[in-house]
Amino acid sequence: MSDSLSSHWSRRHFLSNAGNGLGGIALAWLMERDRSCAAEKVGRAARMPDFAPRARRVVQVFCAGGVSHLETFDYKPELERMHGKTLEGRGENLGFFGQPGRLMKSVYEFRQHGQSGAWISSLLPHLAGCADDLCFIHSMFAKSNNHSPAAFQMNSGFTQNGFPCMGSWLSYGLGTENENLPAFVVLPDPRGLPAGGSINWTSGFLPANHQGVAFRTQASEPVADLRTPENIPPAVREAEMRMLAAMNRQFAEAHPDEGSFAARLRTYELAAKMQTSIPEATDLENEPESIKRLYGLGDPANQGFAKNCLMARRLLERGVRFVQILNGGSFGSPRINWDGHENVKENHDHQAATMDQPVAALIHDLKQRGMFEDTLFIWTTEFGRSPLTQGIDSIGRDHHPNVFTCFLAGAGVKPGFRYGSSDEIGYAVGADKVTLPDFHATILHLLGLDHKKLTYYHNGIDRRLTNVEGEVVNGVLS
Amino acid sequence: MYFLKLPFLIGAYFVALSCHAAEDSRKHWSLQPIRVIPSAEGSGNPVDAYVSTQLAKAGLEMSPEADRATLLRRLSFDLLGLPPTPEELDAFVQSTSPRAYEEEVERLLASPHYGERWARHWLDVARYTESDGFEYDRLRDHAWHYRDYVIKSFNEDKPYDRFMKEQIAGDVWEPVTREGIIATSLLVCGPWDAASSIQANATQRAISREDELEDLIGVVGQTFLGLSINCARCHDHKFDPIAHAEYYRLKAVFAGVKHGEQPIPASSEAEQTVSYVGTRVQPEPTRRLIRGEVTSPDEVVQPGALAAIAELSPDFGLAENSPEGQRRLKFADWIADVRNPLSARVMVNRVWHFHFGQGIVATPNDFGVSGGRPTHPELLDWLAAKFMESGWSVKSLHRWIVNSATYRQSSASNAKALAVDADNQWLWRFAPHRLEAEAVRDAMLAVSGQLNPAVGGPSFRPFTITEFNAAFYHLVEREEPEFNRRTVYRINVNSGKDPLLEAFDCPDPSVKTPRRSLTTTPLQALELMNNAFVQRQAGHFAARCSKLANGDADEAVRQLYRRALGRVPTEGEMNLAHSALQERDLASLAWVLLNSTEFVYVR
Repeated sequence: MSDSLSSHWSRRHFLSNAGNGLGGIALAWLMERDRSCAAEKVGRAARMPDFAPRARRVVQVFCAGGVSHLETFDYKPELERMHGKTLEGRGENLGFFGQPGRLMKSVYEFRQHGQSGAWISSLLPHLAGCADDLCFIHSMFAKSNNHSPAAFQMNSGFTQNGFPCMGSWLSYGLGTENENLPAFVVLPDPRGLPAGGSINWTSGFLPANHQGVAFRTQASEPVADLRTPENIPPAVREAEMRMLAAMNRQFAEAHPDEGSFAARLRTYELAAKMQTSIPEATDLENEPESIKRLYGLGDPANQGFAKNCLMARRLLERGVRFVQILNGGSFGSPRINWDGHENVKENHDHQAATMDQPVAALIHDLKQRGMFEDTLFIWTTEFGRSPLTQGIDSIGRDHHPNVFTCFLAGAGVKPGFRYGSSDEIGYAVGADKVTLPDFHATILHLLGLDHKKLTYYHNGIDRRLTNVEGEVVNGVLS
Repeated sequence: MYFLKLPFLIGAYFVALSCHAAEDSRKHWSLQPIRVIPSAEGSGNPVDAYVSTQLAKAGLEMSPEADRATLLRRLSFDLLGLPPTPEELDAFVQSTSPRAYEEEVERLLASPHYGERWARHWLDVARYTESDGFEYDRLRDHAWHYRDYVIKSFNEDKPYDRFMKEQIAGDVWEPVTREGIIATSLLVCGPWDAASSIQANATQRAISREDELEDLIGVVGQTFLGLSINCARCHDHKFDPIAHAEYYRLKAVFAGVKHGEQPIPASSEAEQTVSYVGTRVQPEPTRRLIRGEVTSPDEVVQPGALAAIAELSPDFGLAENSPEGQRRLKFADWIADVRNPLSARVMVNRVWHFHFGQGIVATPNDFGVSGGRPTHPELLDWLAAKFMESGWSVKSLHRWIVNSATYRQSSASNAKALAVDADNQWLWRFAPHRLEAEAVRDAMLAVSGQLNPAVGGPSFRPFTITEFNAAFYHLVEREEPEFNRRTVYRINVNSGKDPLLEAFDCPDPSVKTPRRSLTTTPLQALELMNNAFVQRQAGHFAARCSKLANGDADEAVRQLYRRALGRVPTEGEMNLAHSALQERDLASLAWVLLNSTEFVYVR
């Protein structure tokens, strides 16, 4: 296998197909740099999709902390009837803190919305307005009841540290559409990073160039070390760059067989372009007032997050393959995520005020620009919350991995559709269970990738985003 | 009747098939005893003889020896991770000793910086981290003892069999030493889900404990044996002869090891005396878990090793309730036994890999059926046999390799060889390769004169920490000498990564990384262009060279080139430097050199 790979993917193969001159060599080498060390056994990266893709790019809103399905999209009349009762015969308590109380009905009113008649709670009036665009999956199932392992599973398919995130897999599998911007961008919540920080967008064992680049959206410099230091006048830096280019060019020309030397020359050209393309992509100043209003940019409650949603649209427009927008960070007092242990209403009120309008605006904006045709929109959280209170006299809910709700929208998915269900009280999957590997397989499928073929060899295993599981959820495909 | 029987027939067919596969995989090359077959070439350095034989088969020949300056730069980065000084270059280039090169090898192997360089390689494989990872990612203040243990072991040329045994069972191997206790940090120096271990749900707690043990068995199996034993947690290994039950025999060996700190014997009165060596408990008897599920326990298993190594008994004669330390000790003996063909083969291949950028086996953590095949099987076995014969001396192993003509070849390309073997698997030249992240940073400190050479001790922490259940690391720019120590002493946390190091492929600490990726990216260019550390070193580098040149501008430029690139500037370069210095200062020129391809590559 190693032999056939090396002969097939030899560097020479690329050089001979790369046209003439250093530019061609550099480009070929950069494109295929993961395979440049041919002795390395690597899986097949699917630069060409396996079949016609429905989506070319992805935006994922990740609501950290565990959004209650019972307070948002999963209407349970039976839970209202059983309000205040205890729950027996469901086996071991699934919560993290182990203090199961009584069944508690949703703390919000539910109403049907749109032509599709989707039930959405009063917590999310703006998203309710998008009901006919959304494809809910009410039967999501997570492996862990613990934030980080569950968040890791949502991001990477595995509950452990160190596995590549979905964005990294897509960067590896499909590359970038705009080499002046990173392929995988993360927009952390301005209020704080999620627990584990950058662990959440690691490329794991994939090469580091596939790692998520977290934009510091509140800082003057969105990417670390993007700007020329202030004490260096532009004319000086220009002269330095010219001298460096001349030196590196001479060196590359003296070693014409070393593709990486030519590639290095090219990376400086790209870096210089990034110095203008990233500030341009992240600058919201020239967006029209109507757009700023749509996202709620003037509202102090959600300003930072609203900016990120608008920035996400600009990044997607410019060819970023995968944008992950985080809503909610780690702990804090008051909490800055959806982890409503003590008082689910107070917590969710607070979080929804930051999330609802900007996310609805992003959906609307992508749609009005025709970008919904080839952009996949994903709204996720790491797990749901228990239909029981956390403790007898509590008004909070503990973590609940055994069923929760996510939604897809946009390219290739059924609009105004509900897939799967929870049981009558929202405790377990009722029908059509969707595991995280199923979810990931479906996303890859929409991007034209067979999840069983997108592999990378690491320490004895041809690794996949979906491990050894995963079935495409055909029911959600349009 | 026919329909009733069919499932049984199919079942029997599959059983037969899988037995057949297992039998076949037992014949896999890496599991066979080491056999030394003298090379056809006979005389001279055996490494070269084996390599030449293979080259001749491919119709190729070795390249001539590289020039001395290039060679010393290569050797110095390879053995120390640091560039040679102009004085060292002069001494070597001008030496008339017939053993000038071998003398350089000895000088470098005796340097305390050698251990720092090679420990970093080992720490990659050991997935060494100084924070918990997962949700809390809390700092492990006292994990660094293990890093120092590894550095010291390489520097002292500790016999590798002892090195292996200490890391598996040093806390119970009589006479127990402080070092032996610290060595067992290997078992727990990876990530740990502290939140899971305190949660209320017993099933979830049990699952994360199984994950922990999979990580532990994974690191032991991959590091010492090149086998992914961890793949047998849920079922028989798909490719290798490792049965599902054998995974649980291994689990029984390590079931007494848990994460955490423990007191260690003090080395001096002033020293604090805890370290992240893990804690020990006497575990319940281990049961095989059907499909790896904690809710499906099956038969009790006894601690033991792998039957795939035919030369050694996998049976330790230990009962399921035997003392946990005894189990690890028996396993350590099994691994370090000279009849175990994997231990030596895997290590000599690792060392070869780090010298050449590619192993004789391309997959250093996977000597199983799905791993690579050796390009030079006879050479691999010769090295492995000789390694054990030498008393498992890693420094001897380095000598056989770096003193060879194979290693000393020029890196120049040639069209004929490139057409036949573009990937240089037959070693017709020394392939150029980019410096690793640590070497890039360390080399800048070295040339700028700012490198603080202090060896060992607590790690430096270039960030502030906020903690609210979870730890957050906020990077800060610090210039004090403490922060100018070698990168191996930067505290290796899971988050709070340095953007410069990260851009140059510094791996995720929680990933077992036998070989690093070497990417070439615009983010690397941005880091070298604008990173404050790089700016600062360029300034120091220029000031140093100015001072050394006593105000002579030409000499200052020469100093820059010699220190950064190991050569003097050409006439053209000198002219360019002259005109540049009309408009800009020497720091600007220093910046150009630190950004140059020539600086970040070894040839």
